[in-house]
Amino acid sequence: MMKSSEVLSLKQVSKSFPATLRGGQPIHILQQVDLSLSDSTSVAITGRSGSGKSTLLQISAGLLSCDSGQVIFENRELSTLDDVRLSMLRCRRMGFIFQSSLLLDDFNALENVQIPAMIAGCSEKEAQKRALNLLQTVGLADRLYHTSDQLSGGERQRVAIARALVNEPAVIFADEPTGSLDERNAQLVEDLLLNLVAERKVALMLITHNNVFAARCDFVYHLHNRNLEVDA
Amino acid sequence: MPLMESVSSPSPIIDMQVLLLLCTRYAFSKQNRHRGTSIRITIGLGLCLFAIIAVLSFMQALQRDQFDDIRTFESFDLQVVLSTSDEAAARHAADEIEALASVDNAFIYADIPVITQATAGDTVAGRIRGLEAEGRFLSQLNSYRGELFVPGFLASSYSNSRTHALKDEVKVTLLKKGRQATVIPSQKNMVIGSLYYTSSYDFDRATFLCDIETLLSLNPDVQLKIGIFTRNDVLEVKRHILDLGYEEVATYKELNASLYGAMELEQKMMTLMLFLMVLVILVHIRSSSRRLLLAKQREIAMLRSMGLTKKQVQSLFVLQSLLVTLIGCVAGLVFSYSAVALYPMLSNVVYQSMGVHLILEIRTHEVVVLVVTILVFSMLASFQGTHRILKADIMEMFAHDEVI
Amino acid sequence: MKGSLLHLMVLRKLGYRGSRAAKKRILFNILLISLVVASLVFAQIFVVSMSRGIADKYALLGNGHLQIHEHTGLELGPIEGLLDTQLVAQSHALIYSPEANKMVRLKGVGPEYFNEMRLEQLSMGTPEAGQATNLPQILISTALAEELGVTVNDRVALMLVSQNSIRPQLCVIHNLYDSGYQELDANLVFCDYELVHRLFGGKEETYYELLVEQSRMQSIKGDLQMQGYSVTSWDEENYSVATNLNTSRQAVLGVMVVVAILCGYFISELSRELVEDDKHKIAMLTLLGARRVFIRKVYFSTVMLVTLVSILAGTMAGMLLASNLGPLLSYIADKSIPSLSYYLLDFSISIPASDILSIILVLLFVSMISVQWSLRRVKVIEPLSCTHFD
Repeated sequence: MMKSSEVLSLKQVSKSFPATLRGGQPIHILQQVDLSLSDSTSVAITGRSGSGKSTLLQISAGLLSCDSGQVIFENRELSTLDDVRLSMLRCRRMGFIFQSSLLLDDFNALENVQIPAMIAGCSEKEAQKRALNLLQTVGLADRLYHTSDQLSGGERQRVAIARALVNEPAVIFADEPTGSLDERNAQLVEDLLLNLVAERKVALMLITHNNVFAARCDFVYHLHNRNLEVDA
Repeated sequence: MPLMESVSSPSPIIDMQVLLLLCTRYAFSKQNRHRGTSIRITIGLGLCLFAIIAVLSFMQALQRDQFDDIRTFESFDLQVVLSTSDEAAARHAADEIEALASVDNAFIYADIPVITQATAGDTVAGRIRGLEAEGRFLSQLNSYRGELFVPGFLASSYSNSRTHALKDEVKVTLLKKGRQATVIPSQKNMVIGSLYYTSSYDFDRATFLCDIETLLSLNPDVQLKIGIFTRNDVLEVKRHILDLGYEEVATYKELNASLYGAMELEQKMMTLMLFLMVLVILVHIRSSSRRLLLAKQREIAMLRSMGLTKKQVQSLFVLQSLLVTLIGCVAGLVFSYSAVALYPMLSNVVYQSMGVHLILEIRTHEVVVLVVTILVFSMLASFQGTHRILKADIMEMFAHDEVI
Repeated sequence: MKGSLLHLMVLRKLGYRGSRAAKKRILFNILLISLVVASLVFAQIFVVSMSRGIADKYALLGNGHLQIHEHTGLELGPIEGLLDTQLVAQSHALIYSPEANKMVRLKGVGPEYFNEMRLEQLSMGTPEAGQATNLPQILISTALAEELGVTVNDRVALMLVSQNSIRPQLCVIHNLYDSGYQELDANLVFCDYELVHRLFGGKEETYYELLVEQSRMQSIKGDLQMQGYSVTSWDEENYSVATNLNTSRQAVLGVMVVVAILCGYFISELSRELVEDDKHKIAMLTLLGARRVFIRKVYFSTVMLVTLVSILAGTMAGMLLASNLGPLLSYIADKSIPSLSYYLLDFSISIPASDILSIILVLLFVSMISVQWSLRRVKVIEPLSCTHFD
């Protein structure tokens, strides 16, 4: 049973992958992991490369299915939802930021941010208005019509942050958002992300190698031996 | 946005708006040099469609030219076979038919197979056609020498004039009903009173002309027919004639069903052969859609994580190829209609090389069928090229460069 | 060294010891191009074979390859390429039965007329033993028999026109033949040469029909004309038929060439794809010192090898398909579809080598030009771009 302020709950979640794409002995990534995330709370997950951090994030967001256990998002068990409902849930209640910003190359910054709003059902005008506000908030008011190849790495990540927030999600899933940035830009992005999630009361699940960044979150977990440990 | 109690889809209109926005951009995406490919496909399709329409129009014009001769001189637009040899009854029938709306002319005629023998002994095997020449037949019949349709005289064609010259007396041999035998041969001398020519070589070689009274004097028992020229739809006129109670009514197409069928078959064969070109392009549509999808895997994964469903992503790729195909088809139609509009400037060249004046037309229903077929095939090609890849899990797309 | 490197790289591009995806792509393109080439070759063989079949019908049954317009007493010396000489008398008559009548061409021929070559062009029925009769015997086509409503051993009348009179001549149908081409045989009646001579009293047209080797037709014609004979060929005697056949063949060849041009152009899409997919590798190769000329050679050789293999496979497939068309055509012929009465469905397959070669050369030429054009992209790929990511 989820607590009233819980947005995300993982119960006894396990996941394994075959050794190669074509099969083989399975590699166990997660074993009976429990995790809960309350609204307006930020959680950082650290661990060494290959420990399964990204896998845990993907399962939490319904991007990957688990072998066993439950993933409950806002009182809905994700495994019971069909593709359409899951898509809508992702669209309206979740935001994503990845290490490479994954902007749509054929669209400019403004369009990249307005598209998720349109997918969620906003009219083009309303979506554009929201996108404009967010891009101003992240400091890219003068880069609205620039495509991704015309933006720097830091600017692309800021656009990604604005895109993740456009539908006022309940949770933002950020997988190494500063992983490919230099120190200065990484700091900028960290500050922006944490300030915005706090301001908008959005929960945050963050995957990062950066212990300093992780320490700025409300809770820090360390993924070790296929399970989560509270980071001392 | 408030917390949703239930997850429901946005309106289909907004869905379509998003898809259209995405597909228009993807159709000519610079990534993976897809734009160049799309432009080449567009131009290729345009040229293929133009080639098909141009060749078909040309073939139809040639066939129409051939059928024009048949309609004008041979079997007319419609033919009614009467069960009488009585001229008065036939005339009454002709008048009744001519009174119908859309009928320009209705006239009595009949043919009898004959062998004619000139003084020098040269024979021509053909027929004598006796008729009350009217309408298109009369207007397109060219008088070369003498006066046509003078009672008691025959008109020979210019093609036969070497052996059957003007003022020659020829022996005409035909078959008539006998008292005891079914048919008996009959012979009569007649004078060639005039020479004519038409645009139909086959008609000229085998036909002598005279007025109906002269023909009936040769063979009073010949079965009379009514030849009809119409200005509107031939089938509609046929229906009206059948309503009048006449039973044996046939259009020029029905009378020349085999020839007409053969011409239609030729056109279809030619279309099929030319469609090979379209198939080559359709294969490229398939592979270009697939390559675009492979290049955009990560973007698609992002779009999926933003809330686009699998069906929507599939529709996106089908729509982008449909857009490219549609532009190609429109280009092809523009080329075709422009060419037909400009053709009159070249018609003299065609006349000099082929000896015929052709009028090019584009049949709308054929064009519609062609365009719809191409669009449907391109959708199928694009679907076939992408649906397997889209079955993959979202995160596989993130993880692997190429999902196969 | 460079040769073996070229060899190695081309083989790898062709999928030898390469990835499954590479093999699949190459095989798919080979299949596609082969299918197109097979269709083009098949269509051209079909049309040319039908045209030649129709021409053979007219030559062997209608007018002979050549006609010498001499009445009798022709003595030709041995001529290389001359296969057969027959004296023929022909005229026109009205043939009539109780049900119908038709103008026909009455062709009087000698006993040796229906030799092996001519018999190959038609199928004869089996004469049935009927009542003994002194009436002249004639041979009519099944199409004409159907029109007149008669069959073997039935009597028909020929209306013959002579200088002073007309007279009917009763005949009996000795046998029926079918040439497979109604346009020719629907009004062609055979009878004994002497009969025509007797019936028309010298007013008939008499000439010699020569069957010659096709390749020598024009030269034999020229030689005979030089000897002072009046000679015409079957295409001169059947001008519109010959023109139509030629036009059809040219039109189909034109269409095939256009398709080949388009196919040739789209072969360059394969080279574009290969270059685009390998642009990082190409950048790396140039970084390692490979010359762009060499790199272009690799891709050019790969694509042209695929094209050549496809052309070979497609040509063979087209020829094989065309060669096995007989049973299908016979089946269609048996259906007696009216629209198909204007076409010949019983003909032997002849391979128009020059037409097929034209199509192949056009395809090769266009593909070479378009592939070379598409490989300009190689020039633009800079060594440093191997460090970039999409």
